[in-house]
Amino acid sequence: MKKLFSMVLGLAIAAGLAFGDDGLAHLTMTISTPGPDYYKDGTKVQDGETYLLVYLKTNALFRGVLMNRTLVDPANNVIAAVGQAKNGACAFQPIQFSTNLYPSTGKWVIDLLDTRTADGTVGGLVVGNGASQPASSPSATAPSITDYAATMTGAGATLASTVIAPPLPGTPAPIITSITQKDGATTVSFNNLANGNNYYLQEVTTVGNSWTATAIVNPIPCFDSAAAISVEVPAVPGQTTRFFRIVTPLP
Amino acid sequence: MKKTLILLAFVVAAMLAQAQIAPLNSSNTVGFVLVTNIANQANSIITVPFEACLSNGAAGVVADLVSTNGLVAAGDAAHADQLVVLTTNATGLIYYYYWLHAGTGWTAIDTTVLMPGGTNAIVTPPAADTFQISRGLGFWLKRYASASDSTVMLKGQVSDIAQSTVIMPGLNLVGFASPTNVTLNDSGVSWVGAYSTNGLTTTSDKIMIVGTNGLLAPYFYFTCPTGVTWSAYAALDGKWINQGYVVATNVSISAGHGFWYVRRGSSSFTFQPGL
Repeated sequence: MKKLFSMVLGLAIAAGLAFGDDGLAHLTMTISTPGPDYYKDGTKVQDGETYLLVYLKTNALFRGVLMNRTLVDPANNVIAAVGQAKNGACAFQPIQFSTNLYPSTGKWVIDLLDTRTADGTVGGLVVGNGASQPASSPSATAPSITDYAATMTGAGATLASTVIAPPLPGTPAPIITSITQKDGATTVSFNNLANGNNYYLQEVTTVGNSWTATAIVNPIPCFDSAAAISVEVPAVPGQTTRFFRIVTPLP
Repeated sequence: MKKTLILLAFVVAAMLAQAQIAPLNSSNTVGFVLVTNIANQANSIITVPFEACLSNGAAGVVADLVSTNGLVAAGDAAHADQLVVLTTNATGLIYYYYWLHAGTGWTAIDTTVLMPGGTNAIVTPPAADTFQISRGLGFWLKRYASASDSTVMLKGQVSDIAQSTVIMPGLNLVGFASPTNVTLNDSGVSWVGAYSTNGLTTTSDKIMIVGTNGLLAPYFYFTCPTGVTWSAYAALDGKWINQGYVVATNVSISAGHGFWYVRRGSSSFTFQPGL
C-alpha cells in the first residue's frame, strides 16, 4: 500500500496501555508522497513545488490555503513544515516534534500547492492545492516504529492540486480602469487589488454568454495593491468583438 | 634391541613434543547475530552487542556494525531501509535517520525539528562512518514496505570490556551488549542503580520488552518496602516483576534485541549488567 506518511512511534492500543504516563515528549515521523503528483491540469508536479505539512488541532478539519499561502483557518490549522517536490513527489523528510507543540490528539495532512507563475516556473502565489486525508498523530505512549498506512488515504495516495485557492478575506472586487488597442492587441488595466491574490483575465465574444474563455491562462499575481496592473492580450484573427472582465480566483 | 629402544624413545619424545604444541588463537573473536524482527516488521528495537574489529573497546560505527546484506537499498530514502537512532545532542533528545543508499551504503539524512513560530531547525546526523553506536544503545530498523525478509545481521568483534550504558531519567532505548540471549532476572545480571520506590509499580523503574506477539510488555523493578519483612515480598526483592507482582520468569531478550528502559528515578545511573 502506498503511503504518504511514515509514522514512527505508531499507535498500538496495547502498547499505549502498557506505557501509561511514561510517554515520550519528542516524537518523530517522516513525510513523503509516492508520486507522481499532479496539478489540476494533469501536469506532473515540477521540481521545487511546495508541499505543506499542516497540523490540524483536535477535532479540526483542514480548511485549505489562501492564494498568499496562508491558511483559511489559522486558528485550527498550523503550517508545521514545508517540503519540496522532487521527481514529481514530495521528497522524503524526517520530522521531529514535541507533543507540547503538537499534541497527539491532532492530525496531519500534506497539502500540495500549485504555485506556477505565468512563465510556468513555481514560486508564485497559490493557484490551487490538494491535500491528503488526515492522518492521526503518533502517540506519545506507543514506542514502536509503525507506519500509519492503514489510516492514510487508502488506495491511490497521489495528490492533485484540484482545489482552487480562494482570495483573501475582504478582497474587494477589482475594477477595470481602461481598455486600449494598438496594432490589434488589447491592453486591459485594472486596480482595486489586494496583495496576495491571483487575478485572471477572462473574455467572451458575446455579452451574456458564459465567461468560459480565458484570455490569460496563467494567474496574474498581485504584490502591490496600490499599483494598477496592465495585461496585453494578443489579437485574434477574424475576431471583431471581445469583452473582458477580471476575476479572482479563476472559477 | 638397543635400536628398538632408541626408536621407541624417539617416538615417545616426538609425541610429547606434539602434545606440548598448543594452537595459537587469534587475539580477538568476531561473530554475528541474526536478528529477526518480531511480529510485524516495524516493531523491533535493535542493539549491537559487538564492537568494531580491532577497535580496542571503542564503540563501532553504523557502517561497520549493521550489515546491509539482505536489506533494501534504493536511490532515495523513501524506498530504502532505514535506521532510526534515538539519542541526545546538545539540545536534548534527537532522532538520527540513516537510509541505505544503493551503491553508497548507510547515508545520513537531515531531520527537521518543528519549532514554535515555524522557524524549524535542521539537524544533520553524523555520517554513518563516524557515528558511534556504543554497545547497549538501542535503535530501530525500519524496513521498506516491500521488504520480504525480516532479519538484519549485526556483526563485529566480541568485546572483552563489560557493558556500561548511561540510563537517563525518562525513556531510554537500550539493550544488553551480549552476543547471547539474556533472561530478565538472570542471576548473572547486575541491576545496581535501578530505582524502586518501596515496590510501587507506578513510580519504580520500568522495562518495556517487545513480546513474541509484537506488543510491549512492562516489567517493574521491585525492592522491599522499608521495614516490611513479609516473606512474599522478599521473593520479589531485587527482581523485575509484572503488573501482577509476580517475578518475571523465562523472559528472554534475544541477542541483538533491545528494549525500553523507563527511568523514573530523578537521576541517571550507569547500567553495568556485568556482560
